[in-house]
Order: sequence, then C-alpha cells, then structure tokens
Amino acid sequence: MIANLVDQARLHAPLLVVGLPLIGAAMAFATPHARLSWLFAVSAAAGSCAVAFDMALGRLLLNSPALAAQEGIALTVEGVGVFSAPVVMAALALVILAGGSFAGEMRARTAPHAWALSLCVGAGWTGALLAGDLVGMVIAVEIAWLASVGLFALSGEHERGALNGALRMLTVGGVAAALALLGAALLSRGSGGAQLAGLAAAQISAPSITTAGVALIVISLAIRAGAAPLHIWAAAAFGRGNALAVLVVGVVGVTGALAVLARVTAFALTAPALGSGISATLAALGLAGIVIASVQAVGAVNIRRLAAYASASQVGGVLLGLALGSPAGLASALVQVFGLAVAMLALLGGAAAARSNAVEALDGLVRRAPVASIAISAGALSLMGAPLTIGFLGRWRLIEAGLGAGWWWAAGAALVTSLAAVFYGGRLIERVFFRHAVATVDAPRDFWRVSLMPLLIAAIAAIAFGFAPALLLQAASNAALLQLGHTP
Amino acid sequence: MSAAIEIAGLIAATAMLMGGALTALTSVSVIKRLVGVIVALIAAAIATSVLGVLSTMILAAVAMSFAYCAIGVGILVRLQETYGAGDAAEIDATDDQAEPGREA
Repeated sequence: MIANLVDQARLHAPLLVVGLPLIGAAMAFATPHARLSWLFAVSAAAGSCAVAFDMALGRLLLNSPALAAQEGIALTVEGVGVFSAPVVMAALALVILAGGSFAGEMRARTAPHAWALSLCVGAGWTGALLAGDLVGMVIAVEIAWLASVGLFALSGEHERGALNGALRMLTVGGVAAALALLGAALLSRGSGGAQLAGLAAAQISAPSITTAGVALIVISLAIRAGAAPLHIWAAAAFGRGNALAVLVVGVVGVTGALAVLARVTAFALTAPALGSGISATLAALGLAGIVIASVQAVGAVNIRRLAAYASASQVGGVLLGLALGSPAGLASALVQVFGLAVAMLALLGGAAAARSNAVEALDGLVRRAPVASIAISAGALSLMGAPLTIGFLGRWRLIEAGLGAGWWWAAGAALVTSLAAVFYGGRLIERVFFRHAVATVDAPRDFWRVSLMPLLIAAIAAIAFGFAPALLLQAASNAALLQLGHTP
Repeated sequence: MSAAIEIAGLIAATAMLMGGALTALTSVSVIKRLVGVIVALIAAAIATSVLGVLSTMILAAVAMSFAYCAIGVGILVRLQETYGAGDAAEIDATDDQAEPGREA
C-alpha cells in the first residue's frame, strides 16, 4: 500500500510540489498560534522539497521515464523546471525554518500571515517553473510577486521603511506584469498558441511580433530577478525589510525568477526565427548588469543593499550563460543559479545573525557568532568565484561555454564579476575576522536562535559543493540537454 | 477586426501602457504611481483583447489589475498613516535618514 502511495505521489509530483505549499499556507494562515503555524509552514515546505528532490533525482540522475498525470492542471516536467524546483523549495524550507529565530520580531498576530505569504512565494515560483502554458506561468509569477510585496508590507510593522520598499516592489512589479501580459499576448498571437513547449516547432507567422513578445517577457522576469539596470526595487526593498522578507525574496524570489527566465529563454532560443534577437537581448542585459551592479556593490555600506547589488551582478553572469543558447551555456546558467542561491542564503542568513544592516556591524563578528561569520565568508568567497567553491564552478563553466562559442568578451565579463566581488566580498571578510567591534547589537538570548543554524550550515555545505561537484554538474548538464530536446 | 483597426488599437494600448508605466515609475505622488500601475495593467488587458488571444489571458489581466489595485490601496493607506505624507521623495528622504549605513 505504501509503495502504491509512493507511485501515486511520483505520478502527481509536479502537482504536489506546487500544491503542498499552498495547502500549508492555508493551514498556517488559519492557525492563530504563531509557533504552531510556523511548524505547519516548515512541514509543508519540507514536504514539497522532498517531492521535488525525488522528482529531480529520478529524472536527471536515474534517467527515469517522465511520468505525468494526464488529467487536471496542466503542469509539465522539463529540464530547467525539474532542476530548479528542488533548489527553490529547499531554499524556502531553510528560510522558513530559520524564520523561527526571527519570529520574536514579529507580532504573534501577524506571524501566521508571514509564514503563509512565504509559502505562497515558493508555490508561485515553482508553479511558474512547472506551468504548461503561458497564462499559467504569468499567473503563478504574479502570485509569487504579490505575496512578496505582502511580506515586505507586513514587515513594515517594525520598520516603516519596509512599507516604502513594498510600494516600490508593487509599482515596479505592476509595470513588469503589464509588460509580461503584453509580451504573452504578442507571443501567443505570433506563434499561434500559448504553449511554451510548442514554440520550437511552431509555424511562426510573425517573427518580429513573437520576438518582441518574448523580449517583453524576458524583461519582465529580469525585473523580478533584480537584474541591473532594471533592479530599481531591489536595493530599497532589501535595505528596509525584515530578515524573513529579505531572505524569502532575496533567495527564493530571485532564484525562482532566474529559473523561470532560463526556462522561457531555453524555449525561445530553440525556435530558429527567434534565437538571435533573444540572444542579443540577454547578452546586452547580462553585460550591462555585470558592470552596473558591480560598481554599485563596491560602494554599498548597507549589508543587504550590498547583497542586492551583488545578486544583480551574478544575475548578469546567468544571463550571459543563457544568451549562448547552447546546452553548455544553459548548464552553466543553472550551476550559477544554484551558486547564487546558496551564496545569498549564506550572506543574508549570516547578516541576519548580526542583527544590524550596517556593514560596520560585522566588525569582529567571528567572536560573537562564529558560524554566521563562516557563512558570510563562504558566501563572499563563492561570489568571488574562489576555487573549491560552487561559485568558481559556475564561473568556470560560463567561461568554458563562452570560449567554446567564440564569445571571448563573455569570458572577460565573468572575470570582471569576480574581480569586483573581490572588493566587496573581501571587505566583508576583513571586517568579520580582522576588526574589533566598536558597538554591538545584543541579540536576544532565545532558544529559537538555533533554528538559524540549519540554514547557515546548509549554505556552507552547499558552497563546499565545489569540492565534489560531479552530481550537481551532471544534473545541470542533463537538465540542459532535456530542456533543449536532446537525450542525456 | 480589420487589420488597420487592430494595429491602431494595439498602438493606442501600447502608448497607454507606456504612459502608465512612466507615471508609475517617475511620479512624485504615491497615489499617482498606483494609478499609473493600474492604467498600465488595463492597457495590457486592452492589448490582449485587441490581439484576439485566449480569453483566459484577458481574464488574467483583469484579475491582476484588481489584485494590484487592492494591495496597492492597502499599502497606500498604511503609508499615509505611518508617514503622514503622500510625496514619494519625502518618504524616501525620511527612510534614507533612518537606514543603517545610509546611502543617497
């Protein structure tokens, strides 16, 4: 009977990955007790994560045949979705678990709302990764975005600047939503349908309209991912929100948006009529993002703003990998997405332990919070692309793929990202280990602070994937081949 | 719908979308920013209708407009209660003063 249940769960895995967080959100919202609500939220996120990992293991590493229910909501299992969904849900589970240490900063009345909104963010992005058609994808993205806005607005209870950040997210997100809708309509009209998977084989009657549609969708998703120079919401929101909101949006949201962007561009780049235009758009965005965001990150004095700019710079590298349009380029982009997720988990999670947003608050942190210090340092090293970190692998794969395609400038841009990260990341490491604290913010002596530990330890371990990356690289490579219609 | 009317309608909707987007991103008043967002979304709904695509897409556009409007109004009310101001520049300046490691 258990085997039967497991088989049924595997058959409906995409629905469970999206549905479990939504059910958990409803249960968390309906539970008035903050800690019990948190437990429901952690359970739902962990359950969804387990299903997503099982789906990825089977499809990418064990080469199990694709199983999919033929009835119900149109969800599909493709390379990018099956690789990224476990990353998004694992990040969400760790962030919600760590949220137990920040729950004391929230009012007991609003904490259940925060857990519910966090789960909706995860459900939205995984829904967009697994949606079978454009309309489903657009709606799922908006669910995730509006839940993110709500999360920041909730954190305005303690820090009123978060309300301003929420408004900025709402206005920029609204513009992005309008662009996405117009893009989806143009794409649908030009290609004769709303199915993403059919784009490569579609009889595209109007290539310019279809290219414009895809470009608008790409720009909309790049805005959500915080890609420079479209990241006008990110620094203000990150700098003012509470720790939970920043972790959810900065890790889960950015990773989800990037993964959905990778999915859409992978479909578009395989369509002969669209490839060159989309590739040029991505390359331009990626290059601009690396340069602009790197300069901004070097000058940042607020940890979370620095993380926002650093993330934007890394996103530029991902866009360059996608622009290549090859299996190697897509695989490098997926490895970079993973690397960005764990680096941001480490950096933002470690910064949350410092209990202050100013870079000066990191002075001498190693004496007060050694695990958080190691996490911040590991995150900074990964962003630099230091050898034996996962960040190095992603950067290396990008350089390999770029040189293989004759894009010498892409390899140069990857090096620029690393060099800039040495400045802003090195500054953080220097403060953590080699300075003495002038004044510290006393962290509450609370048992629940230990719930931050799994996030920090998992982030450090994932960054250390650079020591033994074979599984990850194989999964990314197989995901890219599957996505682009080849056999792994 | 004849091609000329379709093209004219699409151009008008796109212009309306761009106008709404510009207002949303640059207006001094936070209320006008929200109005700009709603205008942009309505324009997108009009464009999807003019292009004759799936009715589900049009419904999604309308639903999104309502959602952004509802959440936006809630945030605006809270902003007014908290800051007592409706000027985006004033609110930004107040927050920059209070933010740790303040930046320009």
